[in-house]
Amino acid sequence: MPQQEKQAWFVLSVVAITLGAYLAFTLAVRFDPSSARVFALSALLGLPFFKHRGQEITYDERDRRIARQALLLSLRVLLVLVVLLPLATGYARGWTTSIPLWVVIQAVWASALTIWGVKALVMVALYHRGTND
Amino acid sequence: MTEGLAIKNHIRRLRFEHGEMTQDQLAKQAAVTRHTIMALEANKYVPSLLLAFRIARAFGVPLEDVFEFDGATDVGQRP
Repeated sequence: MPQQEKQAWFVLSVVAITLGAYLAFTLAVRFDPSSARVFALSALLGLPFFKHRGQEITYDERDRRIARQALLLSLRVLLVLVVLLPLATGYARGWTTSIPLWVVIQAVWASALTIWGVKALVMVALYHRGTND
Repeated sequence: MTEGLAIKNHIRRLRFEHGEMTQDQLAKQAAVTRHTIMALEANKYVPSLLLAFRIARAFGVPLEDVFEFDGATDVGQRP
């Protein structure tokens, strides 16, 4: 398995664990500012696992092409969410509603998770399906 | 999807015809990873022009002996 694909699987598992922990914590304490602690805790716990343990990773043209396609697709997904979510919020809560700052901060973290998760998922799919362009 | 690629290759056959070259040996000569050679042989990847020339040079044969254009499966041909 290429190193980049292994990284993609690792990122997918991190995103899944973070989302699972966030949902579990949110259900327990309800959706309030304290649920943001899950993101901070996950980030702190995950830092040691992002070290490559001194292993040098080589990316060749196929790895770079797959990474580029995956990033483009993840940014397109984010763009759709950035457009759709405010529209949905406006229709649901009114166009003059106010959004708490902690909700905005969690939305930023959710956006980062979306980019990482979609990119990793697309990379895994492209490694298995093949890239035809 | 391995079907429908417009460019086919004969890398696997050429490797065996050239002293049973391993995928790793070819990868080193072409400056790519072994996984890319595997993907090429499985028709899961279309190489760049530069990589195609490097592979042909590794075998010491013309480009057309390594890669073949399959016009029947090329979706680019539109009236």
